[in-house]
Amino acid sequence: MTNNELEVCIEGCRSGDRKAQLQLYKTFFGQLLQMALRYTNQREDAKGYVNQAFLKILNNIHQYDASGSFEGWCKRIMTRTLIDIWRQKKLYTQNIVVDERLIDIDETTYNEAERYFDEEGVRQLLQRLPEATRHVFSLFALEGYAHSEIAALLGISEGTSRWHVNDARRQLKGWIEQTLQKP
Amino acid sequence: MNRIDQLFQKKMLGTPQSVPTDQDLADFEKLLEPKKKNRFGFFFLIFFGVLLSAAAWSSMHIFGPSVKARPALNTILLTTDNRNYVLLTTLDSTYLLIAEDGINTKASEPEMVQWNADSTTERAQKVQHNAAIEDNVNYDIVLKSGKLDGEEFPYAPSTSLLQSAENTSRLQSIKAGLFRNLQAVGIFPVQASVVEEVSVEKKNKNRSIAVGISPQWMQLKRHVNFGSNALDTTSGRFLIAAHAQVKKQWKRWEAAMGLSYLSSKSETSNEEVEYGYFYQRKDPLGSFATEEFDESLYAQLTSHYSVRQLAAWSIPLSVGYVWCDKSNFQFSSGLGGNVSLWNWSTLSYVLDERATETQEGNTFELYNSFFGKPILRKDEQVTLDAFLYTECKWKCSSKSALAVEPQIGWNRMLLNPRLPSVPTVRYGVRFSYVFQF
Repeated sequence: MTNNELEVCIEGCRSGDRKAQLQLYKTFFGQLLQMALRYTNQREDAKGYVNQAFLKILNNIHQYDASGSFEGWCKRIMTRTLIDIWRQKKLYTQNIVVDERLIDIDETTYNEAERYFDEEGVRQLLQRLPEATRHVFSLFALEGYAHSEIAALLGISEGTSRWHVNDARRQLKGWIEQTLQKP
Repeated sequence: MNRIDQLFQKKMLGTPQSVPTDQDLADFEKLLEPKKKNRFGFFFLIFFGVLLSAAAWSSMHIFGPSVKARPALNTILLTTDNRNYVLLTTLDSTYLLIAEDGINTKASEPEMVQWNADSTTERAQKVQHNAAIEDNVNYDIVLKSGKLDGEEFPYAPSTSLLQSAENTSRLQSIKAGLFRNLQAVGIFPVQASVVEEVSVEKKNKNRSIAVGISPQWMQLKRHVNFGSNALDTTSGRFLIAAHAQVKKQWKRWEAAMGLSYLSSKSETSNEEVEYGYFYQRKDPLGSFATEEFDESLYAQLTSHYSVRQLAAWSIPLSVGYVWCDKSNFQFSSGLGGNVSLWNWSTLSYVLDERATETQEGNTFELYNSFFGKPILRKDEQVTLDAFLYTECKWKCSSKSALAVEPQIGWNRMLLNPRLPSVPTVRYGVRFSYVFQF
């Protein structure tokens, strides 16, 4: 969809055009579903989250002022929707002492992993993480949020956010290395 | 950048995006559909709402209000004084009524006058005195500083409640409701109420009626008695439920809840009569019993007054706790007793005690001058008025003992069902009823 087509589609959504709404849904469904699938391995659940987010998008589309990317605006709403859902589960109430040690894989391992894992493979690794840790890691590594932003979004301390990211890296590193060592 | 992060970004952000299936689109489209109003459900709810309301209403009137569903705030305290006053006090600060039903009763009971004419001289004097008071039918009820639960009463001064047909009707409705629900509801003590002072001014005679209820009084009456007490002095003052804390000439209660000592002093004669009695709280509903009796008081009283006089005085003031035999008399008069004792000769209440032989033996029937008829005849169903004022029946048992036998079941429980060989005072003080409407 070109920018002009997107603008027309957005305008149609503002006027309640059902066709435009479905077109918008088709356009951004994939991206938003991809985000949702980072936090749940059940597609139906993820689709439910996407639909929730889309309802918010359509209900608030008149607030989009075109000053930024519409895609980014939609993703922020998706992220907020997911966070709202996570908050209901109260996963982030603990305060954890941060382990500041840098956890990473070496270049060789990265190259091997890059060749070995496809999208589904890394998603499966991601899903093995504890829920709260997975959420924070996804926000940090995939959504690009800073720890301060994550802390504000989730109502946790920055230290706790760092701990989750570090812990995710530690566990993912172990699983990657373990997988690559398999014959 | 951390290589782990990099790996996940590369794999998860750069992959082909999913396309919604037809089912995905259909599901989402359903979400976009405006929800249709379920008119049937709406009418269904209305229908059942009405049905439930009707059921609640009917059950309320058939079975009386639910005991469990009786909030303290929506209750009415019904009290009677010794002079046919009914004090209705809502505990939700909505209104307070002081109704002198005795006046209304008098007006509707012409036979009473005839009965008075047949009375003895002593009685006639009392009746005359009584009539002099009661000639002033219309009381202008003034709530000077009424407070209930800390809130001012909404009534403006000089509101004549009884002069208003609407209020009279209201009162009658309340009374009817009380009576209807009496036994179904049960008797409950006052939960919380403080009426600071209520003044009732009587027209034309420059007399005043002061109703003063101190917090202590109210606290006590939750457990004991809330009979308003009458005092008609030669100075024309008329006190109802006056209390030491309201009227300085009255000494205050000197004991705490459950053990009270009352002393009083006559304003008129300056003759102080003191007596004390003890209440021993037995249960939260306010039944009391004690084995203690002030023998000196008894001697003092009986040296001055005949048993009949004492009985006549005590009965209207305190229903249901007089025990005596034909030669001895013991009584308790509840909180109201203090008034009757020192001012008994001017009390406007007259009882006619007629001893009649019945098949079962001597039966005493109490007559109320205001009613002009027996308050309760044997086997007579308790009428509302009788219940409100003096529901009691004297019975002379085959053991030649007299006992007040209240007709209300709850009150009967307060009395020892067996007449003791040695008269014992039983305090079964229950004048206060709280109901919900």
